[in-house]
Amino acid sequence: MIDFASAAASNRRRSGLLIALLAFIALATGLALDASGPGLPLFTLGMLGGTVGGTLLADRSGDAMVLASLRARPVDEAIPEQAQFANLVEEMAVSAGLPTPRVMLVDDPAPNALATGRDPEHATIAATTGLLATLDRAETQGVVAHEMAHVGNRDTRIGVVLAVLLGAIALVADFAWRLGMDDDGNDRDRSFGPIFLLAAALAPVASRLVAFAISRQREYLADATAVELTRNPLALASALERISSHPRPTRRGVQGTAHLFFAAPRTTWGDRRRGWLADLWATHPPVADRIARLLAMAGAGDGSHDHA
Amino acid sequence: MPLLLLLGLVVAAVLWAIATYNGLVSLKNGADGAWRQIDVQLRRRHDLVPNLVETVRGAMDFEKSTLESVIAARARAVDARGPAESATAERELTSSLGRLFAVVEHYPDLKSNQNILQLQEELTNTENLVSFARQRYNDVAQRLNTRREAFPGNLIASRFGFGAREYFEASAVDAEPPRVSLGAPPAPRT
Repeated sequence: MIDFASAAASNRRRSGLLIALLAFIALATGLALDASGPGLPLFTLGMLGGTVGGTLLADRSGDAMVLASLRARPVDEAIPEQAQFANLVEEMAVSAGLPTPRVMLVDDPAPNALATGRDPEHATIAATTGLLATLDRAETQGVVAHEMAHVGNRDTRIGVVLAVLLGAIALVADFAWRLGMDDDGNDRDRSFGPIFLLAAALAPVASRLVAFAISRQREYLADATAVELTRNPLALASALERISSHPRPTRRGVQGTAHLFFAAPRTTWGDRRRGWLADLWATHPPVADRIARLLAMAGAGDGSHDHA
Repeated sequence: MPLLLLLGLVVAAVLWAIATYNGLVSLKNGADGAWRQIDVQLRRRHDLVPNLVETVRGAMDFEKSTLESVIAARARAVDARGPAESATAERELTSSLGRLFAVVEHYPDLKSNQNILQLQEELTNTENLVSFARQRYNDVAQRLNTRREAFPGNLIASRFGFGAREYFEASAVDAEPPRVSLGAPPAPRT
């Protein structure tokens, strides 16, 4: 039984905490940089402006920015695969009782999908050409259901804001780092102390750890909601299996957008390896765990209808 | 002091009653919306059928009876009045479409015909939309019924006339199992 309201409400709470935490990290970093760097409060102001401005900008047009960065294009309904994909999005919208999102395509042989948008009325679901070519109808339906779940749980709004914020923090920290190091990789003179460099180095790290922890929880929730939408956990498990074992995983992607995808792209260190440290650093839960949870649902359930 | 406490309790009770009532209204409207969605999808299916029949008619001249039964089933579904009659007619239409596509499997020309494939997808899509619309309705109806039956929602519900909602039971709607295989999905390209 899908109750988007409670999932959305708890997401809002956690999102609020997350944004506050990230803003704190940004400001603390700015202060640390200013305290140990040049006299003017440049970095604090920069971080402040970046955080506020970035959040507002991301909220308004973040999804357009993400889609543009991937060069997403509208589907061509004359092509049967793409028409089927559009149909599947409509099916999941009806199952969820939400408006049908805009449907787009990303040219990439690596199978993957993502959802963006500030709310269900302004959402977009996109898939790569690789995904449409690799999965069958039931599996694609499962992936679409997962993305629809993100839309319904209001994950997409926070996801895009997150992407922009992480990018902004990384940008300012990188700038600070370059200021503090000269071209040979040595510390510049004493105006930029070790604290300065430490702050510049830690900011992106801390912000990512926080963001990724929340992102992983969201993925589990989206998987569960997707099963409620399709009543077919095995198809989703099969899709995960096929995508994760595909010889061409997603490598393209702007830094900070990894958590928007269905399967983790290999763009960050944590998403390329396993092990407890990499798992902390991963944007998605390990595929094996996701599959295990889905199979458990299949075992406990009352049997699935084949709606594909 | 006790008067203040009493007043506070009364206010709290009223606020709670309002919230519960609004919750019920929201669910009731959700159920109505879901019900309408089912209708939309059923009508859409009715509209697709003539197209399908025309596309296969030429190549399947001597399968007249199969085609006839599809046309007849559709007519009955369009004319059906009332939920019971409608449910039976829609079930018949689903069965006759299933039989039609089982027959199409035996005609290689038709099987690979682009129009047929496209119509297969459209019909699969429509069957699924009907199915998901019913599933969604059942979900909302369940939440509504639970809210109005459980304490303390039942106090508000009976007073303000929030009626119980019937479910689409799988047994009542589909004489055959809910699986509708209208042809193979497009083969994945490697």
